[in-house]
Amino acid sequence: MTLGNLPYAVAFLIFLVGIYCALSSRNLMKAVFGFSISSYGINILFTQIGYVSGAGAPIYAAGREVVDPLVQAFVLTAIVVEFGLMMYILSLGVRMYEERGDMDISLLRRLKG
Amino acid sequence: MIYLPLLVVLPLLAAVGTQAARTREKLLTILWVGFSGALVIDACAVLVSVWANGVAAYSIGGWPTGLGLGMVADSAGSLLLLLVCAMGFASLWYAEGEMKPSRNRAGFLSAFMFLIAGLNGMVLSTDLFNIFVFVELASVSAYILVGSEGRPGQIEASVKYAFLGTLSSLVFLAGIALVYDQVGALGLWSISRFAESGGAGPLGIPMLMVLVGIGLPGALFPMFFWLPDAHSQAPSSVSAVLSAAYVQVALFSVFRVFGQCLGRGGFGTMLLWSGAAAVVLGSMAALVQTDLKRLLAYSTVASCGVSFMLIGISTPSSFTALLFHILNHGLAKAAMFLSAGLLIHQTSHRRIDQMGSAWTVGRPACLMFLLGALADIGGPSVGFFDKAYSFISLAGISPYLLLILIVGVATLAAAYARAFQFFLGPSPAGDGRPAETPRSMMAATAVVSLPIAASAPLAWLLLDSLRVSAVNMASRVAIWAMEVI
Repeated sequence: MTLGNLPYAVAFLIFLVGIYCALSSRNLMKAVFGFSISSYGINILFTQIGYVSGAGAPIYAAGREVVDPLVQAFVLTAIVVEFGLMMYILSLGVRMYEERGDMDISLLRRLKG
Repeated sequence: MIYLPLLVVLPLLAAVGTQAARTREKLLTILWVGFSGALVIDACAVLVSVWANGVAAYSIGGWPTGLGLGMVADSAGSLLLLLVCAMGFASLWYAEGEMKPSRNRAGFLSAFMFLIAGLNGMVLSTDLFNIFVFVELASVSAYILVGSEGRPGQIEASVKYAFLGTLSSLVFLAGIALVYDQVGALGLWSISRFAESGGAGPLGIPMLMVLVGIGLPGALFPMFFWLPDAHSQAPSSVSAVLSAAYVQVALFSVFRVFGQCLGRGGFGTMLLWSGAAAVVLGSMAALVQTDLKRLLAYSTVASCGVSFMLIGISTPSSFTALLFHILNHGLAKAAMFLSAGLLIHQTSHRRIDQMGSAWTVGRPACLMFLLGALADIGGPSVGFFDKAYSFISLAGISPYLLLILIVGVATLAAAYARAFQFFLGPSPAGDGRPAETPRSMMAATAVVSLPIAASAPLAWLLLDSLRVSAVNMASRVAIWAMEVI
């Protein structure tokens, strides 16, 4: 059974939901959730690109068809990179909370010009 | 070429080492001096070998052709590597004096070393995914460094920068996935082959997403709003390395991927006009700023615009101009940010209309600021060649573009002149005794400023070799060298 373009559509949808969540929420915590969700969408996109219908896992396989192992490496790396980014933004959120008592990013308007 | 991976490995070792030695002040000093000194020497070795052989390549792990990851430095790249390592050294030296005793010194040094590793990696990378990883490494370190003093303004700048940076990195990653879907590989060589064989059409949207990802750290026109906040709020040592090294490396990556790899099938016209818009907007905004470092940040926006225009034109003469421009702007803006930090320290004011005492209390800093400003607007230094070649290559395309650049440069000159007029002006009443200047801040600023003064004869002597390296840039020597990796 092939799924056609459905995985692409799902990945795109998840990506957009995450971006919408990040851009529309005023709370830094929710924005971080949004970023994480959209990075899951990209990971699904990567996985779909490397998927070969009916193929096995990319372990040693003589004569057997396997899925693309490269995208799995990409996804692992991307997860680590996003993790680092999210950790830093959350630590900034902690600083903001200590300073002001909330994480509302729409109040960040001290710098202008 | 074992020197190439060392440029990434050494700062990574230093970053870990400074964390391990976090409580021992003396050892920290030895670590940063040793490692960043070794980096400068390593970059010099790369430069010498590249200028002898034309290009240097290193294949990680020695995998057969087409399978492994590689590192490639052409002559322009090796010049940029030296700029990054030298600016890193000077900025760290400056930070020694600038840093308050209570600050987390090991954390600062560690983040700084990660930034250097990321920047060197961006210059050396031969495939899109590696560029992504190194962009993220450099970006996260830059967010940390911008907020490293923990003032409320810095936290705000860092949040804005990190927020936009994360958005653009997600778009970048999605773009990479789509490029991989189309091409089946991410090496710049493969992408270049794919685009040449008439496949540039399906790469349009994916490469646009990649442009968003690399364009944000390079302050591509509609995505520069983080830059004035981040560069003006960061500690001066960090502002200097961000605008002298990070922005230039990001511009070089845009050039590598869109100028060299995609060639004329890239987004030439788009880059050209968004660059022109940035030149106009950045220089006009610089004219009306009251904060000294914010003025410099907006002039960085304008200068990135010039680089994007030159990348968009993509002729050999525009690449000569681009090479001069990247080197000149790196040196000049570093000197200006460092001397601006000195002036802010000495007058204890950030607003230029309150810096009237600058000339009396900080004459050397004023002179070094003037030197940087002159170089940036095309004064008697390597800046003259930068502006001359920019004018020539723009005149070949359209007189309107030439007019835009001339107006932009003139406006920047007016902005610098206005700032300098305030430095010379009457000092405001009620100023206390000037603060004492740490010697390392002064020395580091001098170390950055002296090459500018010496750069005019040097550039004249090296003009032919620089032209050769511009021809190398145009003939995509680096991309060809990636074939064998």
